[in-house]
Amino acid sequence: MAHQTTHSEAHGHHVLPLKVYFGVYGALLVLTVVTVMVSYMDLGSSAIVVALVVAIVKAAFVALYFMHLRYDDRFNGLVFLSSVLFLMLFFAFTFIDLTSRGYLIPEEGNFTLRNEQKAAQASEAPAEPAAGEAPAHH
Amino acid sequence: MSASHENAHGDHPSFLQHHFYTVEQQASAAKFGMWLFLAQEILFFSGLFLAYAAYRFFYPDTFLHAHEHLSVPMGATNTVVLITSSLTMALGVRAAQMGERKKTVGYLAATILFACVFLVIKYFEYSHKFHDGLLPGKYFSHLGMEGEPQIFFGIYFVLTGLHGLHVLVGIGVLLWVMILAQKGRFSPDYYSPVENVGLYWHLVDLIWIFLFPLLYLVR
Repeated sequence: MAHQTTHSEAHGHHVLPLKVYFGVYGALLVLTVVTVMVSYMDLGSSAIVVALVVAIVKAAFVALYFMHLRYDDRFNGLVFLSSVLFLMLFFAFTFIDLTSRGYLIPEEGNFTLRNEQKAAQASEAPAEPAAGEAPAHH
Repeated sequence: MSASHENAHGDHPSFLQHHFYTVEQQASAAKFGMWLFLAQEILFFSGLFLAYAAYRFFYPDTFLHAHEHLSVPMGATNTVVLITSSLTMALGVRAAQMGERKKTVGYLAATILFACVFLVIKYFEYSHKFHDGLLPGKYFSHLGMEGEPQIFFGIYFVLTGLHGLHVLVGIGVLLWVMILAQKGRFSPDYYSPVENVGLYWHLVDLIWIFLFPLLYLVR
């Protein structure tokens, strides 16, 4: 549509054409349908990866166009990305801890995850009547 | 700001605060401040997302089974409602940039309307969960579920509840900005409040974009 002229331009803010907004809206709707449809396909453990990739693409559309980061002062984008960076650090260090502490001193068993305990109990239960010739792994 | 300011300082616009040199400087400072706030919001929510990830890692089967008690049609509808509200918000900011007062007010009103639709749908979802005893921690009373579903519903209610609180706050701020717009306080030279409430609203949408697949579409 009519690009609001002179002073808008002079003050450096960018009025985006309407088709950008409706295009992004369409993309977001399509990606919502995609994420629901993909969830009904049997993708196993990669389902979460696909769901997150779709969500990240949607988030990028919102941030770049609706939030104008693509056209904005780069410094605002840096602030946004820095929070994402620290979010990733937060996840990374917590998961390094979570995924390693269960195996750190297994013979002492001072930290066994509850669902692992249950899984162990479940797998031991039927083995019990068979006089336990199979060596238990704990 | 106030009308009495208007004529008191001759050559600079009434909306330009004294501690800024130019209109541009004021606008970019306002937006930068909003981005700092949004960065804080992301970190604030990240703790809850991490709790989600950690407990899903601990109890994958619980998450798989408990999430089946959430309604995908309702969650998907709410996703579309929020995305639509983000569109009307973005169009509202665009109208403000171009100095179109009526359109700005109209798009802000539409955004508020969609935000209310979101909360109404959320209300029906919540009341269904309350009725079935699908509640956090010790309040959980739904029979016949394996694992630790009270943990899933604890995370569900805190994440969606905090998000819903953001929607509620958003409605309040949007109403305020809509009234200012109606009063003709904004112009192509000054529309920072519209732009900043827009940024906030898009962030609320961004968070829901992640919440929807993580809570409703566990596989």
